[in-house]
Amino acid sequence: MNAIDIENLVKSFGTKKAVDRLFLQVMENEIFGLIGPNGAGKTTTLRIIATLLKPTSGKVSIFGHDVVTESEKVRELISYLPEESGAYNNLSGMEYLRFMASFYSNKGDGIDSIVKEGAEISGLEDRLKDKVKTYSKGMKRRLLVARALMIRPKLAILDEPTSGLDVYYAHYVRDIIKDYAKRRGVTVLLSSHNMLEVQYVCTKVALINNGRIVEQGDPKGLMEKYSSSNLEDVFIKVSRLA
Amino acid sequence: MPKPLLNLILKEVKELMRDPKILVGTVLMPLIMFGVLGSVFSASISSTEEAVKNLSLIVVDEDGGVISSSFKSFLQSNPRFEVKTYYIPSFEEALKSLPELNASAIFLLPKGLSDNVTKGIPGQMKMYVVFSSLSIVEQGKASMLQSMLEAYNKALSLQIISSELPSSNPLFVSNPISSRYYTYFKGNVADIPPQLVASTISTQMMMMPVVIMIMLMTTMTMAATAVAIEKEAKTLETLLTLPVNRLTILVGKLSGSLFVALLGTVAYMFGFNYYMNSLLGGFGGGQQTLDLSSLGITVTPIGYVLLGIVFFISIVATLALAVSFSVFSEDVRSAQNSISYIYIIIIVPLLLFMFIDINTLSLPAQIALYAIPFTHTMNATREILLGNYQSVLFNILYLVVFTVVILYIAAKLFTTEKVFTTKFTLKRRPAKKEL
Repeated sequence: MNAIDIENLVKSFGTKKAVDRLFLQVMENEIFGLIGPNGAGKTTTLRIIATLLKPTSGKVSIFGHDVVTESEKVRELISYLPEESGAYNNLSGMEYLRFMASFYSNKGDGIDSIVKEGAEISGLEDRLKDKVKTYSKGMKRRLLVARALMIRPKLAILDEPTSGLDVYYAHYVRDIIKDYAKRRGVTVLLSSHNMLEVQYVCTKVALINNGRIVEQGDPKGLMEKYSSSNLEDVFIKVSRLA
Repeated sequence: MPKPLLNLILKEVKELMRDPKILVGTVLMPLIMFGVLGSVFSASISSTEEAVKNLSLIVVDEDGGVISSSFKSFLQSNPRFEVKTYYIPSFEEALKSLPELNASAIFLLPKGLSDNVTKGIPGQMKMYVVFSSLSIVEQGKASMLQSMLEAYNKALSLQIISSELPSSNPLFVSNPISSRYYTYFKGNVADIPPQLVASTISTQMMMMPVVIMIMLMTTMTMAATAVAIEKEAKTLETLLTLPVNRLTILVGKLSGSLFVALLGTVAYMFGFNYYMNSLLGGFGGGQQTLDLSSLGITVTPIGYVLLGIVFFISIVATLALAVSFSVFSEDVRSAQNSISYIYIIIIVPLLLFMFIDINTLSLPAQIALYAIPFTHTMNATREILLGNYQSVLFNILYLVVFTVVILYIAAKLFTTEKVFTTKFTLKRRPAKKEL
């Protein structure tokens, strides 16, 4: 079964089509990268998969469950990290993780184990005791990435996961995503306009432009196909051809 | 209670109570504000009482007759106040001495005063009251001096009656008919002057709607802030992708806001009560509240239950209204701006109930007014006090229907993508440039 199945997806806001006849399949256990420039339709697609927006037309299913008619079931399987996301400023990092964990386990032990995993992923150590409002942008992002992964979702949807992080922590987060997906068998769909990042983390990528998938495949295969040394070059060449 | 709902309520309360702006503005400010106001009022009353007890007065006696000497004796023998009296021969000198003697008034007893009074011609005594700081203390001193003069006049009148009509009772002659006032209200007669009933009811009628208004406005601000803060802090998207029913999220937010708003209301009522006690206990506790139960104006146990129902439904209606508006706001500031327009439908019925009889309005005005849900809140609180429970049941019915409709709208809005896609702004359109 595919983790994600998107057929002929269209999403319009008034007269503007943010997503235009998009087809996409993501296999289970893949780390799939959706890459494209700003305004290409990445975030809208991710929001539809995360059940926040409804498609204008087309069909989107997650592990066989429709995002419109079975949205509550879909939300049990996914974890979504929005690009511009925050945490509750007046809670401590630990309280925030515990609050989020409480929706995924009914038992105290279960919650403790999820929070422990979240604390490890974040790498924030003692700073988790401090209120979120005292965190830097990078620290907040690490907390949010930890929140998204700690619950061991079947599908993690990460919109620009390293946004706002410095080189060191961006590298740290990429390694965590790679390692976590492999270790826990989590399917990851991530979007980024940083194509080098996607090249490093993802097992498969799709290039999106003007709301449509213009090319997809594994990074190595695409680079060979377009005789390019990196995905950025691939994207430029594909865009010109399109 | 389902665990996700409990988690959401606890998170909401923690977030709101840890926000210094909300904690100070909602819970601490009413206590501080009314505490300070009450203390200032008490201090002002104490200083006034202290000031009138130790009056310094200047008497300019140009008369030198029996009346002036009896007035001087009256000043010295007044048991209520310790009056220090200075006698200065001329008015000009008295004016010059004022700053040095720190006197509160000059009594000028003009030449011929005694002659006139003894001949049966009304005399005139002049009192110059000194105002220096224009504070409430001055007002207290002025009224005290005036009542002092009136007391002397009354004593003099009794003295004249007893000398002119030795066989008569001076008290009877000066006041031949005494009156006793009763109040009749809805079949009940009470031995209470109508003015006292009116002042007590107006105090209660003023207190209740003001407390309700503050409570509703606090609740509204709280709910709008709770929703808008999720949008401002970019946490709403994450919250809405959690495996929990969106209606539960909405109820969690409303319940958290309700809890904090009730806490704020309790703080407000404590503060207001302290302030009212300071106010009513003023000037030796002369004005006291009155038990109006003998007139049937009281809240029975059924009345309290109905009052609780009215308050609860009104608060839920307010919360639902606030959520419906703030859900389209991008941040806390614009949410608070947008709900400030709803304040009008709370304030209008409040003012009308406080100052006019709604039944005297034209029919269209009454219909328009009763279309506002909070008119029913105000009306119900008054009718409960007066024991008109049938009218209260109609008020409750209207509030329930309104609340259900608004809650339905709020729930619909919260469960659709409009939360993300619609942005409600109340910015003014830029003025057209003149060519």
